[in-house]
Amino acid sequence: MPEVTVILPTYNRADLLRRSAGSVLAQTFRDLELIVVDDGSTDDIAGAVQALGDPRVRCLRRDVRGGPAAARNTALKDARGTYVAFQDSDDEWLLDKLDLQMAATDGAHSMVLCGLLRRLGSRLRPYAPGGRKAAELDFADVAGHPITYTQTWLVPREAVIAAGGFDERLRVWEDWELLLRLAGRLRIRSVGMPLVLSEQAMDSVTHDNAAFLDAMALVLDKHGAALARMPRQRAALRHVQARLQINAGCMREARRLLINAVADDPRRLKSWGMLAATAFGRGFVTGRLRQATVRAVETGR
Amino acid sequence: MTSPAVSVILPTHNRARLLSRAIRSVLSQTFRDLELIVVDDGSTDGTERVVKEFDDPRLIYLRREGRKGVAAARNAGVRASRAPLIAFQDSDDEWLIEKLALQLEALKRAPADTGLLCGAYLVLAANGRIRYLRPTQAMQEGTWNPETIFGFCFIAPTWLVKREVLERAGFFDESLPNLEDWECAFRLSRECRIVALDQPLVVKHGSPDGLNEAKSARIRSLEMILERYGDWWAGSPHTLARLYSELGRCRCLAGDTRAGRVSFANALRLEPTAPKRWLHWLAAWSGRSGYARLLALRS
Repeated sequence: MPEVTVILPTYNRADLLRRSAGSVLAQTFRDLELIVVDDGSTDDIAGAVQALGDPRVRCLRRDVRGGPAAARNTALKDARGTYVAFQDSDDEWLLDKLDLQMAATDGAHSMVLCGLLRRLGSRLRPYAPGGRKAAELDFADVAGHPITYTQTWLVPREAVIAAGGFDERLRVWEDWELLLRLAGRLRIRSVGMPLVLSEQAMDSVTHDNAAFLDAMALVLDKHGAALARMPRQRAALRHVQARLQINAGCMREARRLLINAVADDPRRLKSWGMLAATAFGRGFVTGRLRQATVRAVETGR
Repeated sequence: MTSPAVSVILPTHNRARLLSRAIRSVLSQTFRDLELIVVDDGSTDGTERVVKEFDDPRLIYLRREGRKGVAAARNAGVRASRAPLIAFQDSDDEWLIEKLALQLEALKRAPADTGLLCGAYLVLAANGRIRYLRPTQAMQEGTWNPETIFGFCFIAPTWLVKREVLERAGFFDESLPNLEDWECAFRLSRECRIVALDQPLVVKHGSPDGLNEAKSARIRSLEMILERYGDWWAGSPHTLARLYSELGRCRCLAGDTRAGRVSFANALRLEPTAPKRWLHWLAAWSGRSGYARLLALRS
């Protein structure tokens, strides 16, 4: 039984596996299995996996493309490790990642996060949940920002299964929503240091605003009870919803959400500002705001 | 037996704990046709055992008795190597997994007179601070001049160099306790074009030990380099001034603020309009800790 199962869903992109899967197999921590989930690809993923030449990696095929949540859940059923980690097909892990995370875990009651470096064009932007140094986080820390990266997770497999795995109804933010459920049952630690290099394509043309709106509505509904006790976090999420509504052109709805936000957290100056700006109509606030919203929801900047 | 395409030289002295990450990052490269020569520069901490744990025919272990330093160890590795292209790795660093593949691809597209390829790299300090060092446009095109040579750190772990060029320029200077790769790059720049890739190739992990040793080594090396190449920069007062500044900074941090002020004064004489340098010179009057506080404020 390996200590860690690493799950790598991929839709085509066989040419990237040597880097993404390669950096998992090259980890200084050796006791792992790597499950590459071929999510209905037309590329020969099985062949690319075979070419890696490592007995610790295997390929699971889904004939029908289901998206990252479904692909990860498929692998979870087949996983045997005590812990689970995730990799994206176009990312690279630094070689000590698992070693450092395994050293920080304390068994079945905690999950460990790490930092990540996002490559946007030729610049690198750090992402560090909880800051640069090692830290402890809780539900309140993760609830206010809908950003997480499964590539930074190390989580006990039993906890993920008990929480029910990824919610396949979500087309986006399925990772963050699972994190909210896990935060209710596990301590969350972060090793601080960036241990993942991530390629981030930020494409405002294909940004699916409706998917983000649906996802946020679902999350707010599902976690309504917990969020009711956390007005600041709920206000932050209402603000995100409001921006998405502005993108969609629904100014009245956006205003309603912003009013909710400042009712929850009257010190939220950004929401007051946005509310004032909406008085000037859609044309005033869209444009640059749309770009900024897309960037914020897609890459967490 | 035909030679591999790339020889990788990895000098090491008493880094058994970190060494396997460095070795693994070379052996796991997506480009496979290489030999890795680990030159054990008189280690006493079980380094040999760590190396022997790897079961890879591409890995060669070279043991040297007594500690001769990084430059000598690298040179010994180069002499023992066979491939027409040479790369270097340091024992506490890691190569990103496509480093060689990216550089070999770039070499095919680069101008024919290119002899050395390097690239961008990350420095991860133990306290979590990250620096990302990227080459300027001029370095990416290989249209170097003495200014750019100083501005970009030519750390050996990013290099991919043609053997014939290294042989013409001469290997690493074994009298230099520090900055030996940088000094070698100057000599290489007279033999060939140097091109830097705007892609991260290497992650340098900051190691907290040996800092004081490194400081005085750096000072001695800067002094030797200034002495040897001072007139090469005669036409470029800006570069010379920056070198004197760097020497001043190192001297102040090592505690010798008097000598540090002399260096800053030299720099200011060459380039009087550099307000930050005036600040450094002023801060140097407040002694080592005062100066260190100034630097901490700036970063």
